[in-house]
Amino acid sequence: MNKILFAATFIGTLLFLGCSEYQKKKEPKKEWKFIKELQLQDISPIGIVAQNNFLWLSDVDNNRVVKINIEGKMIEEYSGFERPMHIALNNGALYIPEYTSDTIQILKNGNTSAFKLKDQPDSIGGIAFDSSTIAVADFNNHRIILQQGESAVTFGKEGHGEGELYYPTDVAFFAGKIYVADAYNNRIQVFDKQGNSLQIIGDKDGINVATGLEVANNQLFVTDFEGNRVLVYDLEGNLLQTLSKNLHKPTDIAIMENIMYAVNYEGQSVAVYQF
Amino acid sequence: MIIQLKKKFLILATITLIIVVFIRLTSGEPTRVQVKVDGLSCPFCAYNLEKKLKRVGGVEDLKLRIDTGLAEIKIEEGKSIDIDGIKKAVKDGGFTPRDIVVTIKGKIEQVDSRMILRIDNIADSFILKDNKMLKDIITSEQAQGGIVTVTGLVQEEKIKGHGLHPHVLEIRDFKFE
Repeated sequence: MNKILFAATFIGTLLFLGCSEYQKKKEPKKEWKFIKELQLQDISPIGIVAQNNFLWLSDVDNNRVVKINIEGKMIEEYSGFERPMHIALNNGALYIPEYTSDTIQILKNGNTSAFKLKDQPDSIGGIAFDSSTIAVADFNNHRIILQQGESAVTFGKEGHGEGELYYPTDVAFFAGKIYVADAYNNRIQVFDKQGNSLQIIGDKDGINVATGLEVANNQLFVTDFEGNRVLVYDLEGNLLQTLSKNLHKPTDIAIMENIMYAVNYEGQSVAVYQF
Repeated sequence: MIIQLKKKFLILATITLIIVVFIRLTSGEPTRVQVKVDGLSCPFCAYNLEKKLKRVGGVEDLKLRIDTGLAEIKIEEGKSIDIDGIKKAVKDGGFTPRDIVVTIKGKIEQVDSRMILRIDNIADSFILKDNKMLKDIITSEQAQGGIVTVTGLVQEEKIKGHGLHPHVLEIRDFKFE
């Protein structure tokens, strides 16, 4: 009797496992797929952020920011910014770091004002917000400025080791952590808010200048500028997918639900992918 | 009546001629500097270099050609070329300066045993490296007190202590005014 029971359990387990595997094989693996490329006329985009159904682009060559719709048509433009780089949205306002003047401009309802930084950067590559905290990628000083209210702290120094940075160009917050595009170390470095290095991602994936990043939906997106790729990681740093279709010197990423927009600096376009 | 009109015409023509000659002498081709830089492909690097170069004294305008790795600098009228400042700016921008080529207008003169290009409008000059181009200019009849625009490669060597611009220029091309 026991033998029959054991055999039945064994066969049942095999059948269950077999069915599970079959189910897994039947379900298609979810991946980012290229949909289209939005051609931009006379716009050399560096930074991108998504706002409702619109996209903001920093047009670095022409010293302006432009708002386009999701078909790539320009809706608004604001000129007079000195080499705007990776932009950010916070409380409905667009924050524009000026690479040449080392300042941050705020654009809201068509009016601009200056944001006061407590520390002096030398060429701001990118900025990010986590409620009232701002992180600044301080390109020439190889560090991050973290400012909350009246206090500012910095972390990182020039170098190639853990906790060190080499020309950071972009920064993002996710789940209380700070993700830094450690551009010329060809990697992403993750810090806590005390400036402790927690994780290094992508250093073995042949990235050739990690110019931009975005973290959304528990995925990390990295632009490989010279490699003409976007690399997608999980938050443990495992490489999930490498995208290369219609990417020409990409510099930044914006995610709008299950759509990814990657700006092509050289191609003067936006590559659109869907998950 | 006709004589008066002729007089007016002559005065007007003379004034016009003076203006034309003045413009011809004071303007013309602006002083330009071309700096060859390696690794200028990334816009973050390129605009970093732009930022550093614009802070060099005398730099009026500049264009970066990312595809060819060239920084083309226009020097403000009447200002000297700060070669060392340009080199430092390139280094501060994270690059190594390669060839520096200047296009400059002036007069060829001899000072002691050296031939120099005395730059128009400013108290500055370049020592000229002895080469065929220089000989061609000297032997040319137009060189006798004439203004010449030369394009030359700035040499690594510097000659100090003679009250002249310490940089040596090797002429690659020239054009008489």
